[in-house]
Amino acid sequence: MTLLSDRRSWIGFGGAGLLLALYPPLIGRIGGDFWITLAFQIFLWVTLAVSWNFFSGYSGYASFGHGAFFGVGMYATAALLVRTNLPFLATLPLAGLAAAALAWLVGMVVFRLPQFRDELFSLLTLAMTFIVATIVNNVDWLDGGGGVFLRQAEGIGGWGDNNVALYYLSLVIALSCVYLAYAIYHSRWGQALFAIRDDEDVADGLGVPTIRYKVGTFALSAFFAGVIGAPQALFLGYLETATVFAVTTPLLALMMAILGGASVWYGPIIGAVIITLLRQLLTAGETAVLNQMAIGMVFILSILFIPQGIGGIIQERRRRG
Amino acid sequence: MSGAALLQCDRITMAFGGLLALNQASLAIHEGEILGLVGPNGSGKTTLINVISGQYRPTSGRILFQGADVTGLRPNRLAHVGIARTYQVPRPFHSSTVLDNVALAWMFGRRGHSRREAQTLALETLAFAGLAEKAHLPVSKLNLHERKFLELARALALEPKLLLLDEVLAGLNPSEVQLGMALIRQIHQQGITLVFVEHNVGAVTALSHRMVVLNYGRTIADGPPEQVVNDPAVIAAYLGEEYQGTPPRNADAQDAHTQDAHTQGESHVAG
Amino acid sequence: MSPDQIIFFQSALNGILVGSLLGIVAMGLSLTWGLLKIANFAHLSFALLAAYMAYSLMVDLALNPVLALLLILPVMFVLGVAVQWLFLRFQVTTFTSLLLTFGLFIVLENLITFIWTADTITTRSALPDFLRKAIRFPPPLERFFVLPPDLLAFLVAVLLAGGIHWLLHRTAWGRAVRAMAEDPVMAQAYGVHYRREALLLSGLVSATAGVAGLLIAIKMPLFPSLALAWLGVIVAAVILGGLGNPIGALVATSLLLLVQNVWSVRFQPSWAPLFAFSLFILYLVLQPDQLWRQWWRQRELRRRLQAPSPSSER
Repeated sequence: MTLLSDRRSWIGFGGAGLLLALYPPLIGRIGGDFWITLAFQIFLWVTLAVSWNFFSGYSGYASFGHGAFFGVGMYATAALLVRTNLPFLATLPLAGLAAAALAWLVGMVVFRLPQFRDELFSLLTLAMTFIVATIVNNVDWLDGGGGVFLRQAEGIGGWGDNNVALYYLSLVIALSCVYLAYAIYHSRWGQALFAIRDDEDVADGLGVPTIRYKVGTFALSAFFAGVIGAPQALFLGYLETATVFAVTTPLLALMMAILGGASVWYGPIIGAVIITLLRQLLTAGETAVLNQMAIGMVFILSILFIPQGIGGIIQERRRRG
Repeated sequence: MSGAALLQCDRITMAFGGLLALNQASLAIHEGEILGLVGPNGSGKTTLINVISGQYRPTSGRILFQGADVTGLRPNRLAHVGIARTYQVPRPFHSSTVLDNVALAWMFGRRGHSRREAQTLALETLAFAGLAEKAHLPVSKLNLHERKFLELARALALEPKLLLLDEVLAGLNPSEVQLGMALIRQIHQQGITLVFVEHNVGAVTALSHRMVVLNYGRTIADGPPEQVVNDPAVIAAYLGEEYQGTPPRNADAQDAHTQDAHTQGESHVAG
Repeated sequence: MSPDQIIFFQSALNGILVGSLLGIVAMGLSLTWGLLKIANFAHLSFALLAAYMAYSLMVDLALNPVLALLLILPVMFVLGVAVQWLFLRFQVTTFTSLLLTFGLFIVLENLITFIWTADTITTRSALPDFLRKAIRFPPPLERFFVLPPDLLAFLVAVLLAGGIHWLLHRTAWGRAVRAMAEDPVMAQAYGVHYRREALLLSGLVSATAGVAGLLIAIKMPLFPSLALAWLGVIVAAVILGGLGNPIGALVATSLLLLVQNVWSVRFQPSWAPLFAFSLFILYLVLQPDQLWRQWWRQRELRRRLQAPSPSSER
């Protein structure tokens, strides 16, 4: 892989990796549960934005359903913890698989039908979120309307109230997700998705098994959203469908990816960091509202003036230089 | 030219709502030949190409490729089986370089290659099409004839047995048309069967072994070019044109082009 | 009539009435989407914004509803023109407009929270008496009633839908607008001033959001995320009713609300949204109107194929 090809990259990545690994104990000196939580939030949104992007950004099928996958992951973990005695770590792959299964099901139907391009696909995934939220809200095993408390569940063990553990867990998940986005971007898989984005019919005619790639990538993207739902569920401690399946989740992920640059693998990372910092650092009463407005305005302005995102600008500079 | 039927279209009907773009059209394409497909505007030529390449599923009728029924298969399956096509208005991938456009076909074609291999092979294909120097340019830097040749290169990267060319010469100036015709002859020499939709009747008659004329979605003539061109039904179909006898078989495109300029009352809009 | 039946029909009636109120909002979205190819989700926020403005005018400034409306309409009109101007200036595609208006949706929701706080507020105290008393049907249906705000909304909705339909199909301007929607380039060649008509249309549509806003303020308590609550139903209704079809949008919203209400009488109300959305998705997947057309044409085709002849259809 080109990133790890030279000495400087190794040093750079080694240094960054060391920093990330030692961050909690270092920050602990300064007194920072806030800073650890902030880092956790950043890794969370990096995962959501990057996973959204390696399907939607690369293929051009803008899904508004990432919130559903995230929510499914959260509720899967919560239900498994509260209703079975599964240990927390075991719920992670199951949360991911639940989300991936949903994506697979939807994809198998929707990606074969030509009417679901562009806006209709986006709206359909939004409708899917409403449906999933309603189902979860009505099925007692999941939520049933009363919300789910996670504090006392058996399987939580040492993970409960342990933000440092959540930090490392979410870091690992985010890194895997980023690595995957990078790998896809540079491989045949990425080329297939970009071709689908540019001209799906032509790609089909050139031998690309478009349906397989769309369904598979969609499911994989959902998998990561589901997996990162597990630590989030623990972090929140209490789930209710209104907040878990809020429409702002997929919109934020989308915003981060587009602001950061949807056509490059690292774009969503930039967007996620910027927007998460903006959201977290300015939350205090009145300013929370203003800062949400600011984020909305930033998004609108970025679409109008820099649709290629920050990452896109970086790529253009690189090409010229 | 072995004469075996590589592709058989059996009474293909294609209806769009109430419009019959193809009406029980039947056609056999023989291995190793160059087949010219002509007809007035709206006669169904591009629709037929779309049906054969899998983009449309015919309302009724069958398509047999090397004896096997391939009706309704997805375009990517047909590409793997050996059918490739180019588009009338070139449709390159704009966010990829010229090289990556062709490499994609090598990656996902009949023998799936890795990205590295595909890029190497793509360079060779581009060289064949005369585009090697442009390999690392974005597609936006290509002019029309270069884009058309890129289309061709991409289709060739599929290592097809049957190549469908939809008005590949349309919009090219005479010298570009010469280049195109030479390229087509070279492709044919590699053993690829060609179907060649074209308005430039002179070029079609110069290159093809056989000509099929479509009108209102049906085949109205099928035979050697000189014969077809003199067929009264064909002349009647092109009503409004005066065809002064047969253009000479070996006319180079330049002459044919000038002749067409005299006789053509039609635009270059799709059939 | 048994009590069960009464409840059933009353909720059906309520569904249609409330649906017609939302239908006014849906109409606007349908028109911009169908005629201007702009998926303007902020239209819902505009309606909510207008509702909040109506609240302030009626409660804080003690203006009567009619006066409030007269002040709100021009503000909304200008807002609509401004937004459309931006879309034209940046030549946005339909999909980009979807993203942009979602962003705007979030901005407006927060703006509303900022100005009016997140508390739920109501205009109830400022309403004239006649708007508060339920109106009973004459015998023998005297068990049924309608609330004046609902009835008003219904009447306005029907008039608006009918009026817009008439405007689009029976006037020269309407024809120009429809031509422009189908083929902007050709329409301009025939003298249709795309920019002017687009701005005008957008302004008018936003004005209808103003009307909807007033009716909403009269009918229900307001809170900032109200527009979000409507999102699903309105989007579903717009697509079901056909883009650019105001009557279709109205009928679809009424139908969806009717179904939801009636369902809630018999079954668990919390499942109701599932029903509406599943209907919506099924519609998109199966495309029943397409299927119908296809079936019809297959029949015609079979007849024609029975007698092959060089047909003269072109």
